Amino acid sequence: MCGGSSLIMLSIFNQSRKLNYLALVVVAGIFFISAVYGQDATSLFNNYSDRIYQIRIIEEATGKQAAIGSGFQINQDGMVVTNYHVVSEYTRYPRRYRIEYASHNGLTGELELIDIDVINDLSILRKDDFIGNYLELADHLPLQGEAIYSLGNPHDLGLTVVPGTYNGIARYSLYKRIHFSGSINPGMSGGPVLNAQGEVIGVNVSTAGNQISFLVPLEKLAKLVHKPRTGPIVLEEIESTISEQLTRNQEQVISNLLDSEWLTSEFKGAKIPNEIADYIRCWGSSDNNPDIAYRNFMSVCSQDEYIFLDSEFTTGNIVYQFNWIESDELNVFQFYNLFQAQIENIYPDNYADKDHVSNFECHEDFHFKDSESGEVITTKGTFCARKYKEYPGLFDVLYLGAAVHNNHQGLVSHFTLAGVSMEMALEFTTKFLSNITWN
Amino acid sequence: MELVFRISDSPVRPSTYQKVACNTELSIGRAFDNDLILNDPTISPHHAKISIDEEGSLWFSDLDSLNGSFKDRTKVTGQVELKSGSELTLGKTTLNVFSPDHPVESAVQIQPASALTNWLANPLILATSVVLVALFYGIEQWLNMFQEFKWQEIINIELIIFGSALSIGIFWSIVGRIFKHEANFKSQMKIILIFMIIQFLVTKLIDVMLFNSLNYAFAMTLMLGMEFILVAGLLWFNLQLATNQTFEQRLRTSVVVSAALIVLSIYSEVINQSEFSDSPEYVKLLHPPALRLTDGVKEDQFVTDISVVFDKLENDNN
Repeated sequence: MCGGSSLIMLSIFNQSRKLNYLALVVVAGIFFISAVYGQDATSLFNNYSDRIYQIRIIEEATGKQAAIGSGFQINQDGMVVTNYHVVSEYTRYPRRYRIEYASHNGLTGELELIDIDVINDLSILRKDDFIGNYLELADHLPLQGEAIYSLGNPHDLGLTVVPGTYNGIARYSLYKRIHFSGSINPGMSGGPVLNAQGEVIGVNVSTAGNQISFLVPLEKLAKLVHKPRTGPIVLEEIESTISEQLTRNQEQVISNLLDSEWLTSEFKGAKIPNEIADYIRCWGSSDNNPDIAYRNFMSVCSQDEYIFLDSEFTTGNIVYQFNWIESDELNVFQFYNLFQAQIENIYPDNYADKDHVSNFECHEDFHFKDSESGEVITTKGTFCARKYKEYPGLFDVLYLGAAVHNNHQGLVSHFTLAGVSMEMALEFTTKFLSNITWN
Repeated sequence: MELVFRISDSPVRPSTYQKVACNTELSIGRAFDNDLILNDPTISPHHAKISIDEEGSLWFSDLDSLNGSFKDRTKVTGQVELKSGSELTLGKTTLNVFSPDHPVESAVQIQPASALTNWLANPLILATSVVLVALFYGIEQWLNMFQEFKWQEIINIELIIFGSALSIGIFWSIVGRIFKHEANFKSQMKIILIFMIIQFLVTKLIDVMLFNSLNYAFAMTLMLGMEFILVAGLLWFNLQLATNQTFEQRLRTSVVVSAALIVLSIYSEVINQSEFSDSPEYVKLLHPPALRLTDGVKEDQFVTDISVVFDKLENDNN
C-alpha cells in the first residue's frame, strides 16, 4: 500500500533486515538505456573512474569486510563523500571497524572519518595519500528529462555506470531527494551521480525498485562539503553530533507542522487531518464486504523517508491513521468487542531494538470535547513514549484514541512520531487532537 | 479369642473391619475354607496363618504363598510375633490386626459443614448453576463473534468449561471418598459451578472498573487479589466437603495453596516477560458508553497529564 525505498549499501547486516524489500532490477533495462546513452556514458566512465572508490567497512577482528558501498573524491584535500549508512557501523563501534577504500585500479588504503550528516545520509571521509583528481560539484541541478549518470559498485561487481534521467525533486520527499529514473543497486550507495559535464549533482542513496531511485541532492551535499570545520570529528563526539543533528531536525520538521494550518477532510461522522504537509501522503481503504456485519474505513497518512541510524534503528517517521467503524447489525456489546479488537495492538512505526530505546511508558485516560451538535464526545486515549538511550531528550511517541460515545459507530485515531522531543510531542498531540472534530 | 482386622484393599475405598473368632489357629487366604477370606487375586488360596500360644501371644507365618507376606514392610520368613495394631501386607491388601480391647479414636463432632451440605442438597441449585454457567460463557462467546456466528465455538467453550468443572469435581470426590468415606460429588459440583459463576461476574466487574480507571498496575493487583480470595474460598469449601479438617486447618490449607498458585502465576509472568518489548502495555478494553462512568478530562488537561510519561522515562535509567 505505502511506498518505500531501501538503502543500497551492500552489508551483512542487510541479510537480517525486515525492511529490505529491494527488488533487483531487470538487467535488460540497463542494457537498453546503455545503448541509447552509450557515447556519453563511455567517456564519463573513462574520464572519471579514477575519482570513484569502493568504500569498505572492515571488521578488525576478522579482517573481512562487513559492509561495502561507493564513494568519490570531492576536492584536492582528499575528501571522499559517501552515505552515512555505509559507515554507520564504524560510527557506532569505531574501535571494532576501520574504513578502507579500493580504487578502480585496485589500490587500497585507509580512510579517516571527517564529518557526518545523518539527516541527509551523508558522510565525509579523507584519504591521506590522495592524488589530485577529484569530481567538481555542479552549480545547479539539471532540467527535468536531462540524462544523468550514476556511478558505483553494484553487488561488488566492479565500477559500473548507470545512465538514467533526472526527474526533479521527488514529489513527497521531506529531505528533497532527487528522483532518478535509473537503476541503482546494493553496493552503489554513496556513489556520485554526474551530469553530462561530469559534475556531481547528487549521491546515490536508495531505490524503490523498477528504475525508481533516489539521490541526496546537490544542495545538501554542497552544504556539508563547504561547512567550515577545524578538523576531523572526534570519535567520542560522534554520538553527541548525531544527537544534535536529530534534535535540530525534528524541531524544524515538527515546528513547521505546528505552524501550518492543517488540511482536514470529512471522514464519515468526523473531520480528520488529511495531508498536513506536502511531503505527507494519505491512503485509504475499506472493509466493505457485505458478508460481514460491520464496515471499517481507514485513512493512513505517512512520511516515508526514515532516517537511518543503524541496521537495527531508524527514526524520523511521521504516521497517523484513522479507522471509522460502524455497524447497525451488531448489538452494542458485539460492536464494542469489535472496536476493542482495533486497539489491541499498537506498534511504533519505526524500527528500534533494546540497545537503542527503552520500553514504553503509557498514560491512559478518557478525554472529551464538545461536538458541533453540542454532544459531548468522549475518547479513550492512550499515550505512550519510549526514550532514546544514546540521544537524550529524544523519544518515540504514539497516541491511540477510541471514541466511546456511540453504540454503533466509532473512530479510532492513532499517530506515531519517531525521534521527537517532549515539547514537540506534547504540542503535536494538542494540535492533532484539536484537528479531529465531529459533525 | 477374637481378633479384629482392618482390611484396606483399594486407595479409593475406605477400609473395612472384620471380627474373627478363633481358638488356636486362624487361616487367611482366598479359599472359602479360611477363617478370614480376602478377595484379592494377588493373595494365594491358603496364604498365611496366625497361631495363638498358651500365653495368648500371636504368631504369624506365611504358608509358602506366591507373593509372600510382609510385616511392617519386611518380608516374613518363618514365624513372627504380632502385636495389636501390627500391619501385614498380603498381596496388594493391607491388614491391621487388633485385639478387641485396642483403643479407638474418639468420635468426631459433626462439623457445621452439614449445614452447607443440607443447603447444597437442594436439587434446584445444581440445575440453576448449570444453566447459569452455560448461559454466561455461551453469551460471552456469542458477543465475541462479531465476524460470523459459529455454533461450534459456543459448543467448544461449553465443553471446556464443563469438562474442567467435572474434572475438579471428580478429583474432590475421590479425596472425600478416602478421607471422609463420602464422595459428595453433586455437592462438590455445585460448589465449583457457583465458584465459576462468581468468578465470571467478578471478572466482568473488574473489566468495567479497569475500563473506567485505566491503570495497568492497579488492574493487575486487583485481578490477582480477587483471584486469590476466590481460589481460597473454593478450596475452603472443597476441603470442608471432602475432609475432616478443623476450621483452622482448612483455612490454613486453602490460604497457603491459593497464595502458592498466585505466586506461581506471578513468577511465570515475570520470567516469561521479555526484557524489551516493541509494543506498549496498556489497558486494552473498550466497553459500551453505558458502562463508562466518567467523561474524563478535557483534551488540554489530557495533554498536560501525559507529561508524567516523560518524567517516568527520565527517572528510569535502564
